[in-house]
This record gives sequence, C-alpha cells and structure tokens, in this order.
Amino acid sequence: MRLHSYDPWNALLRLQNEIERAFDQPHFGSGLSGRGAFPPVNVFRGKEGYVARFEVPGLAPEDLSLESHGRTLTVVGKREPREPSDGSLHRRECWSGEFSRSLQFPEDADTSQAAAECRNGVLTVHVPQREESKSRRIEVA
Amino acid sequence: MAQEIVKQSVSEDEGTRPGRSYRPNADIGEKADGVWLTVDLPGVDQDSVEVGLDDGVLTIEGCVALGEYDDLRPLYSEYNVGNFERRFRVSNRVDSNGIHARIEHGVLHLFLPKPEEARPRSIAVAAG
Repeated sequence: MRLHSYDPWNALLRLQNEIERAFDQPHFGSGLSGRGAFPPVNVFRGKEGYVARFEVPGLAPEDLSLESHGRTLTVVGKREPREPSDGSLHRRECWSGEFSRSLQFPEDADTSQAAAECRNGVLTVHVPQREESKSRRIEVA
Repeated sequence: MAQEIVKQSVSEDEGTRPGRSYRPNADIGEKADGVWLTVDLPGVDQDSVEVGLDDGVLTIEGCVALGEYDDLRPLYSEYNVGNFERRFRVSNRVDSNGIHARIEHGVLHLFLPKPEEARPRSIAVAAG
C-alpha cells in the first residue's frame, strides 16, 4: 500500500510558499528594472544553472527576441492590443505594448549559452552555469 | 495608463480546491452580434482550461503545469504561480449554444453570440 502518493496540490502549495519566500529576498542581480515592469519574471536555480520564466500571454515565439551581453540578458517584444474593429470596449486589463527587460545574472552564469522557448504564453530561458564554476569531485590518490 | 500586472488572489468566495487561485486579467468588448472576452492565462494549455456557463455565470478555470517547476529553487520572484479562476455574470441575452472558445499562446478567446432577436437590425424602408 502506498501511503504517500504524489499530490499535485501539495506541490502547488509548496511552490507558492517557496515563491513567497523569494519575494522577501533581496533582488536577483542589480540589473533588474524592478517589480511592476512587464513582463513579470521569476528566476530559479536549477540543476544545470539558472532558469528565468517570463509571463508573456498572447506572444508567439516570433514576437520575442533575446540578446545576451556579458552577464546581461535582454528580452524585447511587443504585444498588440486587442482593438475591436467595430463595437465597444467594456474593460481593458490585459497588458499590451512594447517592452524591453534586462536581467543581470551572477558571475557563474554563461549567458552566451542561453537557450529559450516560449509555450502557452510563458517564455523560459535556460542559462547554464559555467563549466569551471561547477562543483567537481576530486579523487584522492 | 497604469496597467496592473500583479495577480490578485481569488477571494470572493470559499474555494473548493486546495492551493490558491489567481484572478486572470481580461479584456471585454461588445459587437453587434455578440460579446467577446480575452483572458490572459499564461502557462495554461488547451487541455487545462475549462469554460462553463451555468445560470448566467460564466466560469473560467485554468490549471498550470507544475511539473515544469520540479527541481527548481526560486531565487527571485515577481509573480505567483497558481491556477486561474474567474467568474463573470453574463446577460441573459446570450445564445449559450453558440459560445466559441479557443486558447492561443496562453490567451483564452471567447465569443458569446447574441440570439438573433437581440441583434440590432436595420429595417429597409420601402418607398410608397
């Protein structure tokens, strides 16, 4: 009998708690333009390096471009507003317009090797850790 | 125009699901033949969104894929990750059988057509 099966709700609660803790921590890098800018980003530490996730609803991969320069990674894009060709607009809450956001990564991040994918309105950028800064096991002779 | 991008937690009523749900942003407009909505659901795919209309209340629910967060430790956060939920009260003048929904790049596009009798029409005036 399995007493502890995988519970996605527990996973969700744990993730939300961890993210809330990260909200209280000092800024990641000094090159962030700050909270409240579009698109909002979360930065994670993964096994192979860093993962940045931007919420970019409505944007296709071809609407986005990424550039790396030194430790800085810049995301540029544009979301067209939903303009009705006729009729009236009752409510506008969705963000639209042009944006450019830069993130500065720590020294051990290799932004030149960054890889990105955009699915379901979420842009994920993987920035690997530099080989030389990865921890290594040293054999004792 | 200041645009709010901070997600609001759904709090109007008690949820029946564990975890927190967030209120997605929406644009709403009206045309002669119906009402359209676009709802931002980043991270939600076609199989994880539910749209229902019951007793004049339109319910939109979207689930995010949590597997993508396995083995990731948050370092810096600007938005919360959680499921989306929002309800709208819809006028009776909606042809519920004709509702059309599609999701593309994390945005749900909904069209609620008006029944024929509620649409404006022009009446031709014949010359006597």
